[in-house]
Amino acid sequence: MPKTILLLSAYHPELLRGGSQVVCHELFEELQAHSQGRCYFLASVDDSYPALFKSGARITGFDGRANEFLFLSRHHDYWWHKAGDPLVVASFIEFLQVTKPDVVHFHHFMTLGIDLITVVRRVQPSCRIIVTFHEFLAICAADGHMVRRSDRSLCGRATSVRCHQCFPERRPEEFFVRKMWFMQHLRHVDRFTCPSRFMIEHYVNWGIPRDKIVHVPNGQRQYGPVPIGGGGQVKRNRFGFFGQLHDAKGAHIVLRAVHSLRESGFTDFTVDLNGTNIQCASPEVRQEIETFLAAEKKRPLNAQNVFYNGSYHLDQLHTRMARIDWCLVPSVWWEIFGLVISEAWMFGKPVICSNVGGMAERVKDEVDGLHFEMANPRDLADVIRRACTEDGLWQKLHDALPAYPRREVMADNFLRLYDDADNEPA
Amino acid sequence: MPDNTDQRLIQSLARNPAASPASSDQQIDAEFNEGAYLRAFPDVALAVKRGDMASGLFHYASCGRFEGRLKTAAYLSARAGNDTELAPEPERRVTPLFSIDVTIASGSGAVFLVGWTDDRQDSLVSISVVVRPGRPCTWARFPRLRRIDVETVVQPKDQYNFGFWVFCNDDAAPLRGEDTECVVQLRFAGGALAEVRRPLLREGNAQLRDTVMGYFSGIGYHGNRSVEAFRGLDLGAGDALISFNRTLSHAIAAGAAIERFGPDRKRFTGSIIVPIFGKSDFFFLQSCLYAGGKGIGDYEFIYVINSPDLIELLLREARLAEMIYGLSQTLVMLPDNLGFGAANNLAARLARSDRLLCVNPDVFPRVGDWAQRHSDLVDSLPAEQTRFFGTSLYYDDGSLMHGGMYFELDTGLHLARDSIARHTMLRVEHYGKGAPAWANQFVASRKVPAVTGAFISITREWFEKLGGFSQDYIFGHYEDADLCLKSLAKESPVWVHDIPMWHLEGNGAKRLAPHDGGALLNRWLFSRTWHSMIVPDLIGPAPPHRLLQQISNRDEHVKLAAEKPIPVLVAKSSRRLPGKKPALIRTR
Repeated sequence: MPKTILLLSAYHPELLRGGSQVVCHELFEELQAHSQGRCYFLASVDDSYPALFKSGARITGFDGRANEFLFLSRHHDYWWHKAGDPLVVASFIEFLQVTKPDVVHFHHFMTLGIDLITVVRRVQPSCRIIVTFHEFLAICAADGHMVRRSDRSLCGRATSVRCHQCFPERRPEEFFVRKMWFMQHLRHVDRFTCPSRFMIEHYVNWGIPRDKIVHVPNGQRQYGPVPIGGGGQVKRNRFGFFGQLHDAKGAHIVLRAVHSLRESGFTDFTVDLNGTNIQCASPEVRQEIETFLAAEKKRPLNAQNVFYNGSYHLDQLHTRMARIDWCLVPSVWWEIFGLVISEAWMFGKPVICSNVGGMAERVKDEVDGLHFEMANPRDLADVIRRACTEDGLWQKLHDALPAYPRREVMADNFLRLYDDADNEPA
Repeated sequence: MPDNTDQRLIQSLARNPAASPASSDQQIDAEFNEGAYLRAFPDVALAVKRGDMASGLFHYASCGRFEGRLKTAAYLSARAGNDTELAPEPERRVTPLFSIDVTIASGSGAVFLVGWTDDRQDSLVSISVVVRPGRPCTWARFPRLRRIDVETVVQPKDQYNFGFWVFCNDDAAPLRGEDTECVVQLRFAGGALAEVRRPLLREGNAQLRDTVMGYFSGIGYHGNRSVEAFRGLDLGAGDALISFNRTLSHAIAAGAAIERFGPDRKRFTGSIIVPIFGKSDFFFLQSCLYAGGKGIGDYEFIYVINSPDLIELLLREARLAEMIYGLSQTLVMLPDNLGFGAANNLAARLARSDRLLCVNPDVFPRVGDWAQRHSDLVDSLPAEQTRFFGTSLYYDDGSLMHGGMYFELDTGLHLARDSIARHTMLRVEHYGKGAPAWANQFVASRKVPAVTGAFISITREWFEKLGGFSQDYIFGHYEDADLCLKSLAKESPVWVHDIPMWHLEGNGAKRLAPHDGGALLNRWLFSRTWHSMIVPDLIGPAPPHRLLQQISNRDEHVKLAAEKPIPVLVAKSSRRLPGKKPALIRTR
């Protein structure tokens, strides 16, 4: 029987780029095109777009598109991830009553409210609720990264005392009750999904029942023409970084590696930086990147190794990818899935990535890509030098690249979940 | 001034710079001479003459020293011409040095005064405040306290309490009204009378209560802090504060406004009463964590908001909770902090059930069906076991926080000039505090001397027969034990049953200096009120009181006179009384 599906996204990908909203919208487009039922896309927007806040409205349409709506987030509590405005919640209830979804699929709760899950259960008691985790925000108050704030090391488990160590100004009890708060809302969820398998262990260790959480890889459409073959190039010395320029994505690690290579006398390579949102970086990392790029510009053109290309739209991805041989994914956190890995595969580029989390799970070292030690620029420099100089390496890895996860497969997986709790994705 | 003086008092002093205390890090220079100083600096002499300044020495200690006045030509000249007059001025021998730091009055006539005097040679015998000629308010008994700042200046050889404070609550006193100036008179045993004109600061009643309690919490003493504080309260200040707070409570309660949210029913199985102070988060956390549990729909929640600044936020949260959780919630909004006991009493009057559950905002269910368990327990056990009971409470780390309470007696000494006096003070301890969760003996159903107010379940009828919580306790602390003892005094001991709850003890409310002062005063009041009943029959974890001798078997709740003794472990933090049994005590 055709179902009515409501997808909830934190932000609209056309207003603020980000992995979870991109995936959610990809799913929406696929379900719109191929599912027999109705599908609605409700994306939050915060006060970064004040012009979209229509007077007196809490939920509005979006740019004249059918079935796409904006949730005008107000008074959101970013510590508890709690809906803060009764009027917004009232409008959401009304929206549920109007759309009558059989399935509500949360792709996030930030700027929406984890408590909206409970609202859905109250308003639509028989509705199927799916939550996709795109990072560890329920577990970790430190931006959901599970990176220790003290030494930036990866965190393997959240406990009251360990979390208090990251936030010394907050008592351990606060983290205890924070977990109870999240768990109380998440108990209404029928199925959780994670795009990477390693995430499942984190969530199970935290308290999500293993039989309620499944792996559904993020899928995407093809963003441009697929290059044919590996080409006849001799040198494979062009590297590209795609992503946001904040700390977690590790662009600064690449720049440190460049510095290290130059110091060692190796300069026969280029690095393209593609991305934006440097304003989200810490002041130290922002200054490091900006200082490097400013100095780079002052070099003679033939002495420049790093080129900053700025932000890009998905339609431009294939041209950006065409300029490189290798895709660098130097994230200094777990990196849940790494859409950029899929995008690199989409355009036939082997990936050089940090040896942790979703990156290590997806990219097989020495098989279809290369790993380096997370946050170690000297190790990255060594890998870059090897990638540039080892004969046949690029071709070997290129030939072993897996197909990128396609969105129609993702949609099929989710449709099975929407239909039946016991019908596991393939 | 004491080291931890309430900020409000500091602000009062800032408004009144002439009352600045003696500087705290200096010694009097040998070159100082009172007579020469006053002759050299007519401005100071005039201030002393007017009463704005206690003495030239005071001026020198507080600011003249830093201005280098002893090096000025005026002073050197005055001193050079008076080498033969280096001895103190005759007036200085007659009138001891003194200063009035602050005088504050409320509109109802309560007054709070802080000052100090070096009366080692001529004892201060009375303090008067005069607003209108011929109608002085005079106090002959007032607490003395340590003044480290004064000690630094006068360098006494022996310990001496230079400071004093007065709090008087007399609504017929002539201090009522709007006067902003008064004369403070100090009379000394030798007949000297010191007089100084002071600004009379005005504060609202609640603000004055907070000022005084904050000041009280930070007072320093020579000797045992609690003993000396209690002795000070014994001099009338304690009763005056209680009476003042009682009047204040009535006024605050009279200003309450009520708003109800969620499903409306005429009657509920139980009414969960939660006072909120200073922290709003616990409202939505409780709404979330209590909601959805089996049987919770039969309970109503009554939140008493003791922080007016949170009202708007909590109204918004209540509207959210109504939509998200669907609980029946009543907000009782107060114009000021009513305190724990009075807030619960007020909410009890609004309850729509025969069962009251007094619950702290930082108490959460450990099991989802706690409400059903509570209802079942009340329905299935004999009335005497459920008339008034507490429950097992756990810390967030899983260890036990509360399995009932018992009493201990502390002894402190007061060292007078010629004697040593012994004072006793009551203290409340928790059974099994910090014990591992598997230590079932602490949570077995049984009679106990008292239970914490963090979770109390009591029939409304019994609550009313006991007169509710005493409203003599200020802010919070000890009124829970007080209520338990009132029940015991009426032949009905309280019980502990095991409906496990989390208690994030100490997190539920914002704690400020006035609350520390309240806790200290409450302990004094509790000790004074219950000493004769508690000592010796209710002392220790296995008290010999006749009504606590029968402990039911944990597997047979109904059986009052258990055949088998249940071992009661003593909490690791508890102090043992001399001669008592060691750690493991078997009791019946």
